Amino acid sequence: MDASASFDAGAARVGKPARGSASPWERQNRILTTSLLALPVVAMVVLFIAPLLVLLWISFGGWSDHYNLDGYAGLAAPVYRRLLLFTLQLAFTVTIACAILAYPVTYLMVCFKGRFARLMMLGLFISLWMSLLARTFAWIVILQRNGIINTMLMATGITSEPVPLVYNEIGVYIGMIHIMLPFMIVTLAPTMAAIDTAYIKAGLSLGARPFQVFRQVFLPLSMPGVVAGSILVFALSFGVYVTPAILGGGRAPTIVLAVKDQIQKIGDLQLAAATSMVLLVICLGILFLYNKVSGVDNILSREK
Amino acid sequence: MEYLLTRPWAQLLKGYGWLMLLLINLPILILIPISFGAGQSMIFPPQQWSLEWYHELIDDRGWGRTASLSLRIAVLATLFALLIGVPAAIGISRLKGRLGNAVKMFFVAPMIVPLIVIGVGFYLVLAQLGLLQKIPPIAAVHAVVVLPFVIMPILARLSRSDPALERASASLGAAPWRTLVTVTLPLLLPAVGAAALFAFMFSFDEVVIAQFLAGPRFETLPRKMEGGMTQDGLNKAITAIASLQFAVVALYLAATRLIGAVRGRMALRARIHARRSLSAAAVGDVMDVEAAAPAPAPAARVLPLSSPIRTERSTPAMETTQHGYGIRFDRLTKYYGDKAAVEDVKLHVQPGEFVTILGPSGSGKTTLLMLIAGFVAPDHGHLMLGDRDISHVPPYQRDIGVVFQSYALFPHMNVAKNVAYPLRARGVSRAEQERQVKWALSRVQMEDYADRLVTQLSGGQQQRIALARAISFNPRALLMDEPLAALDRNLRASMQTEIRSLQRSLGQTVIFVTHDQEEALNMSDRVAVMNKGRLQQVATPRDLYRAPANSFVAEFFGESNLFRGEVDSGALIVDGRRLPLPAGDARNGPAVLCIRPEVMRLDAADAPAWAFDGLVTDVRFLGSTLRIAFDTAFGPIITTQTIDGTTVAPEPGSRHNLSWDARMSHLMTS
Repeated sequence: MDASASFDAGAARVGKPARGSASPWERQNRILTTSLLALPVVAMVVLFIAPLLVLLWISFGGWSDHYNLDGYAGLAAPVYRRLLLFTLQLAFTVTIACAILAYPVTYLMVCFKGRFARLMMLGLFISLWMSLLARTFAWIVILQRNGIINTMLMATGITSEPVPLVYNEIGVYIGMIHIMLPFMIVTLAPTMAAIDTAYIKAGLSLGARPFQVFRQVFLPLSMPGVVAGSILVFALSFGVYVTPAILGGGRAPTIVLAVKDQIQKIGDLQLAAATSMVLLVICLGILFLYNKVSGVDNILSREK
Repeated sequence: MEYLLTRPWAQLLKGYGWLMLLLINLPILILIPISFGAGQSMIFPPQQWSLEWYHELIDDRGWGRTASLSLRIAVLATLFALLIGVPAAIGISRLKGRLGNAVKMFFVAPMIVPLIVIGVGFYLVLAQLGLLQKIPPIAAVHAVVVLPFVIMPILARLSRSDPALERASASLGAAPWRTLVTVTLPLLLPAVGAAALFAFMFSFDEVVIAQFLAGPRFETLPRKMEGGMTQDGLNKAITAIASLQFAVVALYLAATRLIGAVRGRMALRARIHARRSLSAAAVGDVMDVEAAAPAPAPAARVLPLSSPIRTERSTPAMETTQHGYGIRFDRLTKYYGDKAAVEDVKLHVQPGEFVTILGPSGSGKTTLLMLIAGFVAPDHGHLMLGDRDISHVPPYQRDIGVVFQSYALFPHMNVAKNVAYPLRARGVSRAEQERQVKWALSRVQMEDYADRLVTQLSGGQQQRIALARAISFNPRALLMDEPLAALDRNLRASMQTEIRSLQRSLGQTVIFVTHDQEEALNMSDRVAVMNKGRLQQVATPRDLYRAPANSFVAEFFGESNLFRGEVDSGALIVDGRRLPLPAGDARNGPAVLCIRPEVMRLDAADAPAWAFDGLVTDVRFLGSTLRIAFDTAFGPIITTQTIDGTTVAPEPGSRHNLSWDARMSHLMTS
């Protein structure tokens, strides 16, 4: 054994317990991770957290002479309760509709890989990338008094008068479901694709009928995806502004639209801040629920 | 899963699927023909075709002005979003456990928070700061809001890539930052592209935040579009705008597809080029599988088969031999929590020696490997490479070539670039790189594959490239982590021979990790058996078999019959019976006697007095040997007998006398 000086100096260290010591590699990687995250975290704090904190401060009367609860008291008005309830009902209905519509489509995409799956994926990509305004506009064109649907209805003699399909709640529901459906499918698809075909084969080989296998094996395994997609769609529907504003034509006001009026028409900033805080709390609650159910990983992991 | 549907149901479901596909895309597609219709009416199909609404977009200065403003905002927002989102996603993917999840939640939060809340918050803040109606603030807010949609696809891509790639990069000499730029980022490019398009489209289309932060004098395109969508009147120019947006998306999709097609074609050309060479075809497709077969080779394959690894100099300038360094493990210890994964490992690997570390899974051999490669630092002890203590040297400065179990070839580089990677990391000149790549590829007989993509190679070919990459930079030692585990049996056998002869001809030091004892036997100068984090024995395969250090080694390395008992006055007492000891003095006390199956004698003519009876429970034919299981007073006993012309297999249920030559037995203390 060569007893070089450096080796002896090191040998002294041998005796000391130095459990869990990090290698230079681990240390450098930690530095790399920290420096990668430093700018994004600062950006998030300045651009995302700070304005929300200011909003919180204002909602408690930060800009007036003294702190007060006037903003939240103003929210107790029946009109806001009605708006909030309608918004929740809208989001809930849209979520259920999307889940029911999306499930068979996703099942098809995952189970029958081929032309349909490829085209569907392309359609979803285009849909997600295309302008929300353009898609909303398209629905006005389709649903309006002299639009395609009404023209067809009258041409076939089903109705003699144009049916009001837009600038009311019907239009909002149709538009919202159309806009949210792709989000549901892209969230559900990875979960379904991850289900091993062997489970299905095993179920069938054990003597269960196809429907039993679907109900007892496939459906439970795909449920996390359905729940994840539902929570995402619920949160997005709850906070969306454009579609209810345009397709509702003022006849389907949501709490989100009310915030805009509070600022631009009423000019009550504290009330608007308080309303925003209520929306924020509801949405953060949904985010935590989401994380409990499926982990944030599953949102929009598009490719599988 | 298609098994779950009977035919009519499947047809029905498919019909529904096509209908939904149509419904999802129809509203967008219908706008395109309408935009080419003349006049105000928006009916489908248009009665008269015209480009007037596209002219309108040009003629009405308002559209151009707002579009250019929105474009500037969107470009800046996309830039911001990528600048924040890409490092954030990579950073998040490197965090583990609770912290990782919390950070991920933090960055995903903007997706869940309604735009109007963020819009109001910024409106109040920016109004105070006098920053309303300016491009950078709007772009920054857009970037933050779209951040989750940038991070998520990138994270999904990252979770699918092989974590060994980054380790491979480090072991080949690239520091973490270099790895990030040359390996991690290029692999992310498609996901980043998709995210960028999404961010751009989002910002270009965003109206809620713009409601507050922009104004009538600072009009963005979406604001103007929204103004054209009131009940009082629809502005048909919007259909033209939507069509243009669709064209952008379609162009992007077409471009990505075109890039893919061009790459595929280039790769195809490289493959055809490689096919032209006879030896290449033999190596790639025939020899791998059949080299191990003893049958006489067909005439066409004789040439490449006769010399699996070339030993002559390929390029005069390169040395054919490398100088493997010795490696010394000096009381190496690594804890994970309170558990020692590797404990007090002492081993001196000679320069040019082939040492296999053999152990069951969980024995600590992977930790030992990570210690040698430098990804983990020892808690105690030292690791010496030559006369240099490398215990705390990062992997990219160790100059140890590592061959990974998954090969970890960089999928975005071709074969030559992969092999040149360690040379580029070391700043070797281009000409020298080329020479060494050529040399390394010739050593594994893959010189005709230099231009191929690694994804086009078979498992055995990838294995060779991984090997070439690990030797191309003249490393001080080679470390192999179960490199043959993914290959089929025949190919594995031939690769064992090749790796061994390559190691001999190079004079490299090799540490080879495996759980396959046959592999250890075939290849090694010495085998180091590990169990529960400790080295059990280090010896040549022959000594390991003949004289195992303890019962773990005896049972793990080959089959054996073990008799546990007490040594007393020159004999082993087992359940009151006396068994003879091998020659030499044995201390009294507990001991284990090891008899290898082939040492057992059946019905020997000169059977000793202590010979015992066994009942045959199972007879198996193993080709050149018979494996016979007995039930005896000592428990189950296994024997093997070489089959020659006169061998008669005993009948199950028959009784036979068992004994052995005491000199052929081996006594162990535990």
